Amino acid sequence: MPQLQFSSVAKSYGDTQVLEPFDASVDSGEFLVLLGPSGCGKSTLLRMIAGLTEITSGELLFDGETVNEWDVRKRDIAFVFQSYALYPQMTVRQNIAFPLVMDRMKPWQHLPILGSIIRSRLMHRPEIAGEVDRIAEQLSLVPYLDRRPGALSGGQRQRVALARSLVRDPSLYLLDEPLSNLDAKLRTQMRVDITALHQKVGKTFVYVTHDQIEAMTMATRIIVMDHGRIQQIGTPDEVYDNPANTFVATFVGSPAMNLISPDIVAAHPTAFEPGIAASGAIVGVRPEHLMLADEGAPGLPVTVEVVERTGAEAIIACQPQGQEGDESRILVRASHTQRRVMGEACVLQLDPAHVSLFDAATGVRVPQTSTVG
Amino acid sequence: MSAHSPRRKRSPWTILVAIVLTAVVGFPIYWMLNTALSSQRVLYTEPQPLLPQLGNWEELADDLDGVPVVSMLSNSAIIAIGTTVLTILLATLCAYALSRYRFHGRGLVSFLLFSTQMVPQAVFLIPIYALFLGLGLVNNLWGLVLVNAAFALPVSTFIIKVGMDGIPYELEEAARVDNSPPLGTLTAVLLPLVLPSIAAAAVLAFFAGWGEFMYAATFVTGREMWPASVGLSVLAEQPSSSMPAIMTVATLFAAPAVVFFLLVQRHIVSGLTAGAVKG
Ligand SMILES: Nc1ncnc2c1ncn2[C@@H]1O[C@H](COP(=O)(O)OP(=O)(O)OP(=O)(O)O)[C@@H](O)[C@H]1O
Ligand SMILES: [Mg+2]
Repeated sequence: MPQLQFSSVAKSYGDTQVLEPFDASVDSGEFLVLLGPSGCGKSTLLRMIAGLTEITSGELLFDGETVNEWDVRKRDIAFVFQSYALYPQMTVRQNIAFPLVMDRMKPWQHLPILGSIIRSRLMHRPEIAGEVDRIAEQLSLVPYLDRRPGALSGGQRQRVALARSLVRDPSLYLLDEPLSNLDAKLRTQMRVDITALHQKVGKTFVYVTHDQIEAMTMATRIIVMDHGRIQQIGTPDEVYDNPANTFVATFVGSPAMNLISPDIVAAHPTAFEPGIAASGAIVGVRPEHLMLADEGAPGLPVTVEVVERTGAEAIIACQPQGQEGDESRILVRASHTQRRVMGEACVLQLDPAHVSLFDAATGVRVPQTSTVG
Repeated sequence: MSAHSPRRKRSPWTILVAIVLTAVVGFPIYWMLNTALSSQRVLYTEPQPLLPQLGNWEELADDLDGVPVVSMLSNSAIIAIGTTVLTILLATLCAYALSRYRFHGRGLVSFLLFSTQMVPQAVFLIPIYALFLGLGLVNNLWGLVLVNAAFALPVSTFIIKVGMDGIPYELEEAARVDNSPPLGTLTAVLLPLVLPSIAAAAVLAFFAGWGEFMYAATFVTGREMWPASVGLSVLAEQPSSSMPAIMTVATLFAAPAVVFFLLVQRHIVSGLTAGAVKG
């Protein structure tokens, strides 16, 4: 039985629908990534799972049980807020220990004054202090343990927020862009740490990001969203190799998948497989599945516009002859040994095994028969 | 370790202005003390000496004999503390609802709170007296607590509500995620952050209860029930009272209020929510 199940779940604020009805299910132990551009509804969806935002219609199930009405506390989740939401009056140590302390307090112990005495007592319990130290060590927060959040940098605050959620042992981890404010090195390290944690605890993670590298490297499955609509659900490989539509094709992958418009295909029918040329579809092909050959060879005639060397490889931007503008530009990922210069005329050859076709009108993927091979 | 904000260097002018202001505000207080320590005879026959005279203790003790100073002050304390506790309790809950919930009639409640401030308190004197007669709250300190709290509540609620509006709601959400029950969220997360507003409201409510005269003078008839405000005015009206005695009682009346303010004002600071959320 899947741990998380969405059945026609939707969200609207008044008349504006921010999340259209969708179905999905998440198995126990999965690392699900919600990927999409800013404002597409990722945080909204995550908050609905947490019970922080009300579900407008549809049902959300945990282990087969409808939880729409469940209180946040009953859901047993850890949550990293996109805005951190640190307790400003508490030190970093108190922030991180807070969930552990709360787990151990009885309802009547929260009375004013009495509560603060009990909280500071609990803070010194070896099992709590040890756990806080361990997680602070892991997130390099030890030097800041006695500071307040107001005296930390953005990245340090983000790590405190992460620490506060990872210190517990919930059944579901919900993380809203937990690495967005970290520098590249720390981000890479944290990516590895979170993946390792996921493997160690074996719990379900739902992770929001707009960074596709994070999505591709960490996810067992990705939900790609745009404008409140689920565009595709699949493993990183599926999403990368078989994008469901032109949005996913261009959003996932860097540089994005090239989309060659039907008129260019029609103008050079010999450059493509016969089935493709006749289909009238948009041809999608990733930069690494394109090769540049010298003029005269069979293929699509292009002119080299820009050559960008990134070290091991080069990204070569070309323009089909007779075209100009960003729309028709095609990017090729080539080895750095390829010597091409600006303005040079070449031909572009496609790897027919790795071509995606999209309906010219709707942008939806068209099933292919002709490219088997 | 809390970071100290760098203090600006004070210019001589700032210091001068501060000295002048202190003198203007402080002189009457000094003169009150000075008068309290003088002898009645000197006050009525010679120009009052500028420096306090310290030799008149016996005369003062004689003058104060029969004035129920202790019961006056303790009655005032009961009224003021009762008013403060009741006001803060109700105002905090009311402010929370006004700040966090979007309910029908929310605007109306805010308006009604303010409209009470447009009517002079004297207007309610007779109706409340009539009401309290039936309830047995006349000649009863708790009746005064109730009246004072009612009058202090609107402004206190407003002050605390503004304080709560400044606390990001996500902190409460975070506390819920961290498995804190509502009472825990209130006491561990919210209250420490609205403490400055609560302190400000408490000062207001305390002074309202401590200094209130009109209702106390009307509702309380027994001498043993007099709060200091009433007792002082009765004392001042009696031709037999000596000026040093009046000023001594006035000093004793003012001192607790000053102490309370000094204790509480340390908590009236701003900037407690720094670092809570991004941006
Ligand atoms: N309380 C609200 N009332 C009305 N609209 C809202 C509300 N909260 C969010 N929205 C809208 O819902 C949409 C989705 O917001 P959401 O915060 O889920 O985006 P997101 O994908 O997390 O974006 P980002 O990557 O920038 O965090 C946005 O268009 C936003 O304007
Ligand atoms: Mg978001």
